[in-house]
Amino acid sequence: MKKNICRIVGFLLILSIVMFKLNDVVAFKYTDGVTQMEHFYDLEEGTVDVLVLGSSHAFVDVNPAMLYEEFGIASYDLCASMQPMWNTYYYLEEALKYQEPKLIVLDVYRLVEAFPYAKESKVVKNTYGMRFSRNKYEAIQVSLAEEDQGDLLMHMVEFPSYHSRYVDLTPEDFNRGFVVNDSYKGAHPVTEVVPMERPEVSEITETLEIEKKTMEYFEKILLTAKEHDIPVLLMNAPYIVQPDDKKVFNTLEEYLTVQTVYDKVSYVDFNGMYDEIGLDFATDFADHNHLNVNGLPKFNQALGSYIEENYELPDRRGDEAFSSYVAQ
Amino acid sequence: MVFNSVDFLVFFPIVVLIYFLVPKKIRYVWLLAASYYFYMSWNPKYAVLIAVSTVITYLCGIFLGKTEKKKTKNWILAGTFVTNLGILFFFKYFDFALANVNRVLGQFGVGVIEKPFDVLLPIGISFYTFQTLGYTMDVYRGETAPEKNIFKYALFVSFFPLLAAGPIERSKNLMKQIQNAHTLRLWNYDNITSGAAMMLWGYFMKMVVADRLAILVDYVFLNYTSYGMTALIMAAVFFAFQLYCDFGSYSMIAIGCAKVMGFSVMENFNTPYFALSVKEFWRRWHISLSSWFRDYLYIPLGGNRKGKVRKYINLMITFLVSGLWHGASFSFIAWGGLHGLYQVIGELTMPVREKIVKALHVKTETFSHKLLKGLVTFALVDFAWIFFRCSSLTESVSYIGRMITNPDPWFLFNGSIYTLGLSRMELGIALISLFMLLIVDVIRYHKGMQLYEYLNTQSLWFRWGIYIFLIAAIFLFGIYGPGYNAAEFIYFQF
Repeated sequence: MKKNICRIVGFLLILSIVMFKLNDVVAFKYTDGVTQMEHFYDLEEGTVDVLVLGSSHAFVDVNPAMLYEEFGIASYDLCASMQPMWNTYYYLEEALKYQEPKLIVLDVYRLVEAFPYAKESKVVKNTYGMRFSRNKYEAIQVSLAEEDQGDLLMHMVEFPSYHSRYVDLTPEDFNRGFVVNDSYKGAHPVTEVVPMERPEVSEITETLEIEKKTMEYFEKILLTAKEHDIPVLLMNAPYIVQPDDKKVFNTLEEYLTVQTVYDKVSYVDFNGMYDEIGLDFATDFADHNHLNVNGLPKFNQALGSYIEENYELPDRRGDEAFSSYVAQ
Repeated sequence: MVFNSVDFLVFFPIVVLIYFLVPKKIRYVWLLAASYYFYMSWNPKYAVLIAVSTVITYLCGIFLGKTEKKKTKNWILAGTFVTNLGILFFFKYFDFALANVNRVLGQFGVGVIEKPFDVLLPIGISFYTFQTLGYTMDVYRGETAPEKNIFKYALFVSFFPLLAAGPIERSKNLMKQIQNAHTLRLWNYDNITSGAAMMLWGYFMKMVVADRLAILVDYVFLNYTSYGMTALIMAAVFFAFQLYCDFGSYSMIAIGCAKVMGFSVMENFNTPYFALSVKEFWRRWHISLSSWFRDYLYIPLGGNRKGKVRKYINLMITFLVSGLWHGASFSFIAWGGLHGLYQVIGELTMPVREKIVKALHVKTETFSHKLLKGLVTFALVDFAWIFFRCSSLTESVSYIGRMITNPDPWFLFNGSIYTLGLSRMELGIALISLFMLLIVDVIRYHKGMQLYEYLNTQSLWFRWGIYIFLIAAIFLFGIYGPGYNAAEFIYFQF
């Protein structure tokens, strides 16, 4: 009897080890939304002063390395490609379980989201970096349309989505858990240089209503920040703004002037400051949405200065606890 | 709920655990409740139907037990058969019958009869109907005592592992075990592990082999007019294995589930493609059905006891009915008829074939001769499967026509085989897994052992290694995930 129980336990133990290792190999390791959240959990407690949230505009353009070197700011890009506001909200809730940021920098690009459900598969996949938690459950639930709710459980366990990746395996897939954090504080700068045309949208004054669900979760983010007494810096990173996008940002500005609930919320639209920043549209952009390594220093200088001037943040340079921020 | 779904993977352990813990006398009650829950997960209304069949055949058994008069017994039996087959006929063949009636009427210029409502086929109806009629026949023949406890009988009818697609059990086997369920020692390491091992192999067959082959088979059959001999033969051969793995796996999982719970259910497949004749094939394929037809149709018709001609007629009738049992369409009837013909012609030509073999001094006990017989048998069976797979008789004929008249051997070599729905890698995985199936069936054929029995004779590291390998293979190579519905088992439509 005892022998049989030992056998069963032994078998299940070995099976579990094998299956978890196998899972590690085929799991998604997307660096545009999965690894940011995954590696966030590895951070030392109390080492994130500035929590950057939003879409790829944030994790490509906002560079924690530059911000630390120039200004001593300890920041982390907890963002994901195409991330709608409702997932950003859950990212924030999850982050606050582990860190106590002194400032939230929220990229407002996805306020332009026009639909309550993005057919973009990335939206759900970007929750895969989250730990098994209520936040993850709700993030998936809110991302799935009514007819897809049956897939909720599948996304919670994740592996049905990626088990057949055996055709796409790369050396990186076999390093999970072994190789130290390969993305620097969530940031992923790009090197392509594509000449862009400077957008001419400054004259547009019309407004375009922000989609209901996006607005709902945007306000939830502001409310959570308020409850934790964390100031929020709404930021619009430089990109090739489309006319309809501009209308949405006009709506945002209008909203901010009339609302009285959130007192520690400011907004900086870097798209009105191309010349102050010194951006050159011929060399500084990788595509319509992102700056490249030429534009990064300019933008981060502007962002860092703004933060330094307007917020009381400790200079973390030289601090032992923040040695992970020192560029490798 | 289907076996390869999350619902079942949650349902089964819970049911088993509680089953192990409830008082012995209550065991069958719990299983009955679980079985009806399982059945109603498809459609709650179907439960009424199976309950009706249960009550009718239960009462039949009781009444048969109460009377000695042959005539009364005959009436009771006939009445039960008519009612139950009537129900089966209505749900299964109403549309088919109406369509054909309308076709005939159309010839005479008479207006078509409108279909008053849609008739949905309740799952498992063909299976449990036969199981209950088998019971009534056994009681009629005095081979089984009528079951007095209607709930125990109801469990026999609705036992969830077998509910959707068999094996079609017998009163002398399953009914007896249900009656003795309170005596079973359930925390039995051997039963639990071997039952789980059978289920594991079943899941491998279904998710890695059957559902993968299905991709290519569906692709080619859907677009068969675009392909020549090579692709069409390839798809037909793959279908033979898809069907075997799909149906065989269902039975394997069903038998494994039952074993975990301490029940011994009959084997349904015994390396069918190793058969050396079509006659033998039917002793190895869907054994529970073919033995049912033998015992309750062929033998009552007279079997082979009324002379050669009558024997052939009985064979044809039995196989035509079998075809009809499989589906309400002419292609299924044709399939059944073909198998009947194969056997009739086989017997008629037996003397001739023996003469040829003798004249050519063929060594009949060799592997090579058996291989030849096996391949010929497979070819005959696979040819018939085309009628089984195609959606109509016309389509079957058309498919076969194209297959025979468009030789294109280059198709095999110019990379085209990777354009049939399965990439090179996927095709490779399919072939490797088929090879694994071959090994397992060879072990069964030569050693008479199921996979788990054979592994039990080997060292621990090997046994565990194989099981872990199978689980990992299902995890990686199983056909599941976003975009796939838990692929239904083919035999659910019967």
